[in-house]
Amino acid sequence: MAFSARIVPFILLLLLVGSAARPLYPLPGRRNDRSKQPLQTFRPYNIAHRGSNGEIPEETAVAYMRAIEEGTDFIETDILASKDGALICFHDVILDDTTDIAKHKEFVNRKRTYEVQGMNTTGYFTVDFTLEELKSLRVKQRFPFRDQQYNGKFSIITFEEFISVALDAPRVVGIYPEIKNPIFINQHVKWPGGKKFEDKFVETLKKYGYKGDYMSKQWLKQPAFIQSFAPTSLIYISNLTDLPKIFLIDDVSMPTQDTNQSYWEITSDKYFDFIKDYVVGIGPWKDTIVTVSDNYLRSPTDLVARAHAYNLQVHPYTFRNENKCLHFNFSEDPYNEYQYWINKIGVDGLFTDFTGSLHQYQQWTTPFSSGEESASKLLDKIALMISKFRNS
Amino acid sequence: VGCTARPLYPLPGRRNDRSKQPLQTFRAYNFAHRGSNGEFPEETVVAYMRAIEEGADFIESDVQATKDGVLVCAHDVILDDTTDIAEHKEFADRKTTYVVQGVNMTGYFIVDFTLEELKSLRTKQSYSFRDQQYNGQFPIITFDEYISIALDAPRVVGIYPEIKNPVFVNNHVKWPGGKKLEDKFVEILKKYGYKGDYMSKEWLKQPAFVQSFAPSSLIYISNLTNLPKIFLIDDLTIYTEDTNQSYWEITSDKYLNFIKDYVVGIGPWKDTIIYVSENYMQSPTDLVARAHAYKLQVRWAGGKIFEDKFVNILKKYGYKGTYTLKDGLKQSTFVQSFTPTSLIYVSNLTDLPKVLLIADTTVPTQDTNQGFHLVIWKSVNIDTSYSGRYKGVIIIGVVLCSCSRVIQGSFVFSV
Repeated sequence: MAFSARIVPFILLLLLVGSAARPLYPLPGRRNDRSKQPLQTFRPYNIAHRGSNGEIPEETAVAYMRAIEEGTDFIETDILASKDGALICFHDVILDDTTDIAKHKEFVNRKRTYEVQGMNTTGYFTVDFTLEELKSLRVKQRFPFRDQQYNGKFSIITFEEFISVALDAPRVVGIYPEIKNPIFINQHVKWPGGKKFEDKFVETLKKYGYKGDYMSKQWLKQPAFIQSFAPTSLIYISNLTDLPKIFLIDDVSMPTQDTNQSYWEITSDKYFDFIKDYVVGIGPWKDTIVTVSDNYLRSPTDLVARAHAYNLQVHPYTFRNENKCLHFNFSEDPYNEYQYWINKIGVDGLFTDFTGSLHQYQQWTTPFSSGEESASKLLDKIALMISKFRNS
Repeated sequence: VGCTARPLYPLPGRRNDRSKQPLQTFRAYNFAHRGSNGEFPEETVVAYMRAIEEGADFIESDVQATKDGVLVCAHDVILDDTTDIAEHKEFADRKTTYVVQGVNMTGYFIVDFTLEELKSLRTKQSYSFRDQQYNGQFPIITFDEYISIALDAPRVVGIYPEIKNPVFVNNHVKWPGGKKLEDKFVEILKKYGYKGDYMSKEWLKQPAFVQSFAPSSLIYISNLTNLPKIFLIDDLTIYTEDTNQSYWEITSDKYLNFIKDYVVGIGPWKDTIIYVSENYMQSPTDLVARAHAYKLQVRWAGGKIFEDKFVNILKKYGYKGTYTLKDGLKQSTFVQSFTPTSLIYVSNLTDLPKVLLIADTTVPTQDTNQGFHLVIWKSVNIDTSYSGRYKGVIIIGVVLCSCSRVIQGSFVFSV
């Protein structure tokens, strides 16, 4: 099915500009007298990594709406901050790779070099632009092998706009925001009253009614996971909200940005035993769960087994359909990859750039039940099917 | 090895007392194009075995000939892209330039190597983004070897060989007795017991489709074998190598009407069925609909056609008899169709009254390509008396399906 940009309605989002957005009310067009189709919880979560960014530039309203259309369970985002303290949805600390910043002559003198997680990085940093200035930019598709036709059409959105996309969905769709680069953000952006990035993050969630333990009634109405690579941020906010948290784990060579701990330390049994009181799961890079050599997956490590032993969910990142992202075991077939991770490794959620593909796979292999609850109804159905063949 | 391979016998390890799981025919066929060549170098034993393992209905191959007349499985006329020929210094002087389908091509041509020489080469994966780990491990195989893989499979697996570049091969390779590539091709199929109409008992035991881009080859072999044939169609700008006909000619209704007597189906390039613009598919063309209208890829056993089956069912339930207004109407039936040839055909099978449907004034008949006015005046025998036997079509039914035209009263007999 070819998706046409011509039918995308993003008018609603254009009305919400600035961090002091007016309160959201349910739109009359949406039926508020019915309850929304709830979140599925019987099979691994389909997490739309930066929205449906396989098709549409990442972290835009359109990418998120497309993901919801395609059946995602959660829309995922990375939260950073602007110079004036607005929380925005953006993955990179710099604007160079995913926006048209290079075309904006008025900002040419904003290029800087800062240290980010121990490395010098040069570019146009989000923390050097006000929200209004960021809104004047237009987003582009990061990878040249993906569809370039939406470049220059959509703008960066705020955390609040992202939330409104989720709340406006015709069924229950969860959010999965990340406290991104908190060390760096807190160095460069200051909020009044001594508040930090993590405080503003949780404030925004509370404002829109996100609360509750994992699988509680309130949580199921507005599901959310909070993720971060920085364990101290997760521990800090555990005092502010009981929403479930996920501890992200980078590649084997990368230490944590806040506590400078190695991969081996943060994936040890001892650490799992410690962190399990603060998080409900981990989000590792998938090539650390099963080692890769010569573009073939070798034997799985025991990471998933040990995490599960501590009742920690595992949500690996990132699944992509492109051939160059699929190891040779999978014969260029993304379904083959999903099959392996869901059935053989047994993960609890998947971050994917192609949420439609994952949804199709899950619907074909583990569909929503048709509602045939009673056994006698099922027997009737079977009898009907057989009777067709009786007389032929 | 060589063109006189020893006969195949069933391997003791395979259980020959049980019948093999038959070919599925209820859903679209899965053709392993050059074997499982996404994973293995194309047209090798492993690629075909892997395809069978993965559930293919048919394994597909391209058949060409060596210098000494042996039929081998290879897609390209040259060896450069799919083998390690470049590493074989002993063949360095075989590089040459020939005209292939009107275009000059330079390389190491299969037709310049004997089978023994070809067997000293090793294949490689031609796409750089596919797994390279099997490069240099497997040789080119013969048509015989390809067939033996299919016959050795633990379930019924069909073959789908192509008579590849017959014009070029026949220019360069000569067989004794004036035989051509097509003759040797069919000989080998017969040698291994491949025969039978599409969906016949014999065919289902050893299914096979014979494919080619060259219509004259397909027509030629239709005298040699009744195995079902598929007419391959190249891109919009390519002309057939043997008859120099354009895409538009070979996909016209007229041509489909002609070729349907020789082939059971067509094999087009999918981007000609649905045009592509800016890497997006646009609206489909009508190619599939028209091909299906000529019953391409719908065939019944014993050479029966749609009209035969239609009348059989009517007869089965006792529908017969000429049109009459007397004696009441017990099992009154009219047989209707837009295609006059169908009605004329069935008039030999049943004397039930038939009605020729006529579409809008701008729509010609799909079988005889006759315009509205010609149909009314010329092609129909009309007898307006209501007694006696009637031959052919007796009543014209004008279908006011377009609702935008009123037919002039003088030639409407019945609606």
